[in-house]
Amino acid sequence: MLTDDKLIDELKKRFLENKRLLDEQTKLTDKLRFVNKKLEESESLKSHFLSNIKNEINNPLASILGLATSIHRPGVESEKVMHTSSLIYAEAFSLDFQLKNIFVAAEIEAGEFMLEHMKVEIKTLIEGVASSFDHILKKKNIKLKITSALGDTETFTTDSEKLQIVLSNILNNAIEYSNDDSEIEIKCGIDNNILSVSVTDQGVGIPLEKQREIYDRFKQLDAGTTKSHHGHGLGLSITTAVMQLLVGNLSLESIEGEGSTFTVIIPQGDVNDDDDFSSDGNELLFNADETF
Amino acid sequence: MTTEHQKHYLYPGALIASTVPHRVTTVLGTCVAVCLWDEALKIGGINHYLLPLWNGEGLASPRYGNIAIDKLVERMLENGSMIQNLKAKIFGGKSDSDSIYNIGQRNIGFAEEYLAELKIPIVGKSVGGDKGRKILYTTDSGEVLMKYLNV
Repeated sequence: MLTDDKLIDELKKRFLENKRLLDEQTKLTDKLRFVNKKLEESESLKSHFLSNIKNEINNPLASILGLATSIHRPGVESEKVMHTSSLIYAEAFSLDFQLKNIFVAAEIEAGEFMLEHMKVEIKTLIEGVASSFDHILKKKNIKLKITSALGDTETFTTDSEKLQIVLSNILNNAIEYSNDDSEIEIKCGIDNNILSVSVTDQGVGIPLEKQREIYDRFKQLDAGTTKSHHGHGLGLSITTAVMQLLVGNLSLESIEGEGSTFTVIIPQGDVNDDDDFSSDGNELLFNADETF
Repeated sequence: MTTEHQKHYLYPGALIASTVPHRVTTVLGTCVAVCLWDEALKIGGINHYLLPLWNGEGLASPRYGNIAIDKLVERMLENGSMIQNLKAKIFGGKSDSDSIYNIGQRNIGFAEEYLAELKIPIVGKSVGGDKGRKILYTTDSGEVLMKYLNV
């Protein structure tokens, strides 16, 4: 026979258990709701992006066409040709930069990327990336300082094209969000087969609570009608995705109003994974009973 | 006559589906690879995903099972396959003793449930356990050779 006390105890226990399950369910539902919102947001940002991209591509293209026409006639002063051609270059550069990003994103989203590991002269690569932004640095009068402990020809095995994409996106952001007449510093080093490159700007900075959002695709913190910066919000999500391919890590330190430092850390890659796998005779080591 | 096979090393987060016969190698830890094979056309495709579901952050890439399987099926259909002719083999998903999340198990579970939902039968598998795997998939014959990795 169950006494009243025992019955009450048992009921209490069951109520508690019910409450615990309910709590757990609420937590799960909240999580689902959050992910759902994220997915919806991502979809709407994507369609937004598709309509935006029209401007992002059409505007520079229209400028290039207009500018080219303006000097394509006899008797134009050479000074004007010089000036206009540098404007054409700047527009074409930004168009090229954006298209490259879009293609990389498309490649990664389709799962069709390839990695080509080779020995890369890091200092030369960084200087190359930096010099491609010369015209914008000059325009904003930003001083770029490269601090490196590396020898001129010191190499590191990685995918050079992917590394360029990462660095040019980070540098592009640093420049975009820097004030005129400020300074950007790139530091690089190799330690224990790990490459680290950091880019520090004295720009607007990113408030702590927003630091996670910046990696979302198509997301820009100042989106909407107040949007004052170029780009399509793909840069950092591409950078993150490419860093994943390189099995590296991208980190951010930033203080709002004082500037940001983005740091990439990449482990040394193996030269030619492909050959490694086909030439080491491994195929022969597969046993017949492990055939599916 | 022997068929010329193109060699392909499949990176995590990538996928390949082609009408040209390939020998695809990939190395799996907690990741899962789904091999799809079309018996009628003798063509195949394979993915290699790291996590079961995309959570809306970053790029919508085939690092995530839901996207990787969708895209692989999509590519097979683009190559002329009919979904009812597709058969699947799944590999990988070793258990990760250090992690409470048990990513390997969730990766396997996702493939099994999702393929069942798509009505694609799983005709072969080697999943779970505590060893990594290396597989070699011949896309035209549908044959998969596998060996365990001791590291």
